[in-house]
Amino acid sequence: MAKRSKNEITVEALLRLKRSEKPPADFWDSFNDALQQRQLGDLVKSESWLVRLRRPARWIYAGFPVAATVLLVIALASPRPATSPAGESGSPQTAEETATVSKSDFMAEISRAARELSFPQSASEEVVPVETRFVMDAFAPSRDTDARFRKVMASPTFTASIQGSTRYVADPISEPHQAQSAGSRSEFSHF
Amino acid sequence: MVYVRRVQEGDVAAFDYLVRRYRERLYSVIYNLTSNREDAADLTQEAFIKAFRSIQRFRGNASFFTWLYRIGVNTTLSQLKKNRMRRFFSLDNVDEELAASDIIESLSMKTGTERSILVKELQEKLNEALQKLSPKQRVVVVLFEIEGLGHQEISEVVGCSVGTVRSRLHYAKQQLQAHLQDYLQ
Repeated sequence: MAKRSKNEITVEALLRLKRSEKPPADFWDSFNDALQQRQLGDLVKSESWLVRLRRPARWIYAGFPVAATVLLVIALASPRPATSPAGESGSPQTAEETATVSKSDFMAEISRAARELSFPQSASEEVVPVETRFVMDAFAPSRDTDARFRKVMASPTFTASIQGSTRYVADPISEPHQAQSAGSRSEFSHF
Repeated sequence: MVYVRRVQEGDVAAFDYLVRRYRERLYSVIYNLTSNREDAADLTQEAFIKAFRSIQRFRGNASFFTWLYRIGVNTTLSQLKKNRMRRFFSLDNVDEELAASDIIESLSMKTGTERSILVKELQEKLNEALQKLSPKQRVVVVLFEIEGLGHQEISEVVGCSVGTVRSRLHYAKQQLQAHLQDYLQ
């Protein structure tokens, strides 16, 4: 290898110039302050993780309501066995669907339900345990047509407000115009 | 090693001593890898925090500063890979007393440029040339030419064979020569 002259400028010699690049004198003071703050922050962060890890019960307690809610939603969303006459036909039932029955059958059912219904005289509210049933969806008494029912997922409790004489509760699921067209005729919900 | 052992036994103050002792060298490596003093300061602090966090795993197989360099280099390479560095140069001052005066003198005479202007210009060109290298080549050049580490030490820091270190150094210098042609005689 040929010897390089003393004054020859090489890549190595130029790179060595970089050794003389130095930060200003006050740089290390701010560096130390920043480092200490970051170290403290890091300690606090890692400590909080440790604290959380040491308290698994809190995670369990926090997760329990969520898990319970999820299970409840799944239970409610899963299909239930049909209890209505339409369900007995074997066709799959959804949460809400309509069924068509003849008017004579409907009137017989109304009579039977009316006999079974009894409201307490003293109490203004009473919880009645019931199951999902069909509710009347539309009914025209002047014409000899079929009545339409709508199957609903009913709440297991039913509140009936009785003030003075017997009053039927309007079916909230029915269309508003249907409820109005019923006029003086009672809109009847049978659960 | 005494201070390292003390930190491992829970003496946090001993770590302050290690920071004071190695901060300039570690900062210098990272600064020359990034050519940005703000990034270099952030990454040097990060490297020290990582070192403090994992000092229990340091078994003393290598020297402490080799281990610390490895943390610093890996932290920097990781950031360079993510491309999250600042995209401009932010350079430290050149200590002209420390600068090799004969080279500056020679270049000043050759180009007819005033010395202080030449120093500034050369500093920028050197940083520019270094940034044109691949990060892995840059690490080898910085550790060998600027920090003065041996091939073996560099191979320990980088985690590759000595042959790979030599090869990277060779190709890196070829590229640097091309970039700095105007200043070479």
